[in-house]
Amino acid sequence: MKKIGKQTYKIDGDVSILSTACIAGPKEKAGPLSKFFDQTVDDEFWGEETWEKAESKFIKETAELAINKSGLPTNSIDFCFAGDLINQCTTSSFGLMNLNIPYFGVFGACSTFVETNLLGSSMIDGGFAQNVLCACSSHFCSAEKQFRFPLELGNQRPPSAQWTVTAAGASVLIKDGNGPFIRTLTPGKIVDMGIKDAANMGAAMAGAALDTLVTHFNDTGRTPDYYDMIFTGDLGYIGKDILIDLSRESGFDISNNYDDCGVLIFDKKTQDTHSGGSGCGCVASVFGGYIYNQLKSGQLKKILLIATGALTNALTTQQGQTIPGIAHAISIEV
Amino acid sequence: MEDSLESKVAYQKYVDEKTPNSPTLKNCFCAFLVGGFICALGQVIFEYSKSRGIDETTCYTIVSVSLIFLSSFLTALNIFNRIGKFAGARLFNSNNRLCKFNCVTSYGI
Repeated sequence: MKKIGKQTYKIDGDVSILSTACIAGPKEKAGPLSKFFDQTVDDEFWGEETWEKAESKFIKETAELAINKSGLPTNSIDFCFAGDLINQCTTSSFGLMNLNIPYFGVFGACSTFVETNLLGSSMIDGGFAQNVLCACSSHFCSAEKQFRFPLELGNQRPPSAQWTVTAAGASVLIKDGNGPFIRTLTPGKIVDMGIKDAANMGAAMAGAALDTLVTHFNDTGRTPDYYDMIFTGDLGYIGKDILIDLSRESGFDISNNYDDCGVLIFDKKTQDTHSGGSGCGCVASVFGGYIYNQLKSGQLKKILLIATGALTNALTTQQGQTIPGIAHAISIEV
Repeated sequence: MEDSLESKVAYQKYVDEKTPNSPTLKNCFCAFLVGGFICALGQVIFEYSKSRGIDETTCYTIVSVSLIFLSSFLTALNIFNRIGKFAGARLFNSNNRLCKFNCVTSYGI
């Protein structure tokens, strides 16, 4: 691996995404990407007593499914990188504790999925691992409780609010393999746009997405048309609009080949999701199903995946702090 | 991105323009309509109970119990969500196990 430019890294060898898996909840099942999920669940509790336990089950089942689909024995996985949105990443640690794989809990808010893949692929390329598991989850009910209001309160949602996706996604990365290959990594910086509105995460994160996007293009010397598609994680409708505007101003117009996973996962008209989906499970499940399928079938050959996260919690918002954003990018080629 | 205060203020202004406002006036009107209807319904139940010779304190209890029952019943039928949404309250997930927590609070919209 070598560094190119300011903060982009090119993987020297080959790191393949051998398999992915995604399991989603009932609202996602009713959405336009329903057929791309490996499994959907009709009950938000999934037979568990609490939403947190249900979310742990989501990540556990998804991780196991990804390993099964890879055909590798579980004990051949060298590391697991996983994360979620709940305090101290307990969803991941409780969900994955019986896997018996050395584990790293990662928090990058909604950017976690790409962060785990970025860390996993650098572990492999650095020679520290052969096979790595990356997993992420989010759950609407537990996230509302964690970041916003108790569900029982029945608060109104402003038009800029996003709907946390109930889903988990996982990927198994291996050294060499037949692709799709992770080619370049652009870890993002923390960017604070000064936004304080916790119901407008898209606007808070768009600046970070732009920073990573522009840095990636400057470092690699590429332009947006190098990629078949550029996907962001969960900017939603408002954040997507803002990023298109900002990218145009920066001289890298991405409007022709850009979409956002938070926009793709729900039908805005019929599902009342306002500005779209969010959460680590959003990009994880959309990538694990919809995007990975297109890479495997050759419909997409080169993509840039930028997952965006809002580095905030309920306390910082209540104390009047701004919402800094972060965005990590990986490019994937067939 | 520039990190200066001016650029943050300019960005906030730009974001405000990009972000659609909540339909507050419409929400208030619908909440007024639905809230008023619930009150009127309560009054009807109250007057009816009173006309049957029940004492006032019991009538109040009957009103509360009836309205709570009605909202729970409509929640179970997945109708209350739609009323709540129209009334400017939040639309709940159509999952009944979620809604059961919602029964009591939903009574007051």
